Order: sequence, then structure tokens, then C-alpha cells
Amino acid sequence: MENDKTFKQLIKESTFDNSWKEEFQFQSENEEAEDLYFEISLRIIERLEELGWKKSDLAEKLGVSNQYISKILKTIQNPSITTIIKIQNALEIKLIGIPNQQPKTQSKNQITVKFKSPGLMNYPKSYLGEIIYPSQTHLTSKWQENQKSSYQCDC
Amino acid sequence: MAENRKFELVCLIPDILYSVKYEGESITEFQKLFNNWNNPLWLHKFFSENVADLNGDNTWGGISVGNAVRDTRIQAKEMKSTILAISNGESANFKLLSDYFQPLISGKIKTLEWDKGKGLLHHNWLRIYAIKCSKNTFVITGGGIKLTRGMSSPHLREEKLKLEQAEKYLRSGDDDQIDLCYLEL
Repeated sequence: MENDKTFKQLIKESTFDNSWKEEFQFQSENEEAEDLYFEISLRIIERLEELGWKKSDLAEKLGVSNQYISKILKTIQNPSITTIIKIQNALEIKLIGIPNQQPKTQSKNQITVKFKSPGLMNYPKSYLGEIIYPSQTHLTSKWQENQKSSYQCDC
Repeated sequence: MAENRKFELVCLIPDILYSVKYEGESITEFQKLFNNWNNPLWLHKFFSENVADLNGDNTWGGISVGNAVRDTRIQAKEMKSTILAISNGESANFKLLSDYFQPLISGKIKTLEWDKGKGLLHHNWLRIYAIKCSKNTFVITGGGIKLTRGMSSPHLREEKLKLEQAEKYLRSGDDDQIDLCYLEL
């Protein structure tokens, strides 16, 4: 190593590089997406290890280059949804999905609770009634406080 | 690592933060660190190779390789956020960079590394090694993932060597304010 420059000289000769800042800023502004791609890559890596596959095995299955898979696993390149689904199928794992995705024909998504309070029968009808969960969850405090209160549900 | 590699300084934050960039390298040591800490493949390989240190004496609570990778990313994001805030001058109640650097005593060498630990949720094994050149001016020489006490693991030995070489070089002038340090966030 050359040994003929002082620190002050080195500082004076230093170049200014702002690219790190732009990169950090971008990552900060796109944090949720960056987190998602990171997690997807990590899960692919873990699944490959579990299966005893190499990156090249996955590349071959998908018909893409090893370099492309490497870039995905390093989060240098973000895969499209189509590619993610292809990877899901190749590795037989779930990587993405829509929360609460349910079939339209779902027959039962609520329960009905019927309740009564013998000691409060003279009160308004509300103490002998029903609630439908989850759209309606209110319970009267008087009903809850009465020890003889009982309930019945269709679940 | 080759002995006494030539390097230049790259300014990251004027008058405050610089990084070593070795001859023949396309990026600074600072960028290299954060590239690695944002790379799931690199991190997974690192923790798989150092799984004995990760789970050796239960220091890290028997954490899995996958969760170690996730925690590293969280730490790195916190570090990036702090450095970015310093750079943007968002310092209503912000500390000087020197508040984050801790002295690293190793034989005759006083170094500093970024001290991440205090009050944060996750593990604090990320380190940035730097030379303190004045009250609030630092030159980053490298960094690493410190899973064990001391700097005996191979990857940290290399970082220590880089730090010592840069210190030796920077001390060769008439500057007398040079100290070594480590940085945690």
C-alpha cells in the first residue's frame, strides 16, 4: 500500500457518492413490497434446501436461466406474479395469496346465539332475544350480570 | 485478503461519513455490507455455515437459520433508516453519529463499531467497523455479523485486518486524532 498520503489528502481526493442514499430511500419508500420479495426469496431458498434441490433444478423446471433464479434469490430482480405462481407449483408451496379468499358459495359464515334471563322477563324484549355473530355482537350488561341467564347457539 | 490493498475514500455524508473502496472493487465496503445484509441467499448461506455459532451456547435463543436471516434484515433496515436520517439532517433530537459508535479495544488498537443493541427488539449482531478520524468523522472499513464474543471467527478476523491496515495507513500522516471503532445500531 502506498504510504505517502495523509488522511486530509485522502479526504480531499475522495469522490462523493450519493447512490447509496437513493437506494436506501427507495427501499424505505417501498418497504412493504421489498419485505414481501425478501420473504418470498427466503421461502424459496428454504424449500430448495428442504427438497435437496439446487438453483439449477428450479431453473430447469421453470425453463429459465440459472442467473435469473439467482437474481430472484438475491432479491436483485423481483419476479412477476406469473413467475411466483410457477415457482409455487414447481416447489409445491404457497408463496402468495389473497387474504380471506373464500368461495362465493360459502353456505355458513355466521352463528346465531339465543339468550334469555328469567329474572328480567318483565324488562323489554331485548333480554330475551338473539344476536347474530359476527355482524352483531352486542350483549346487554344486565343479561350478563344475571346469574340465571343462559344462552344457546346453533354452532 | 491480500496484504495492504490500495484503497481510496468515498464520501457518503460530507465531513461525517466516508467509506473505503478497495482498488479493483466496483463498490465501497459500506455498500457491500448492505448489499449482503439485504441478500437472502447470502444471509442464508452465512448462517448455515455458522450455525454452530448461532446456536452454540444459546446466546441467541436457539433461533433458526431462517429467522436469523429475517432478524438481520430488520437490523439492517434500522441501521439504514438511522444513517439516512443523519444524511438528511433530520435531527430535531438526533444524535451525532459518534453516539452510535463504540470504542473497540483490541490490543493496542482502539477501534469503534456501530452499537445497535440498546432498546431494540431484535438481535444485535450487525457491526460496522470504522476509523474515527475526528470528533464526528468516520471512515468505514467493513463490517460483519458478530455471533460470538471477540473477533476470532474467520470472517471477523478479516474485517479486523482491514481495520488495522487502514488505521496503519491513515496514521502515517501527521493526523493524531485517529482511533478505531465499531458501530452498532
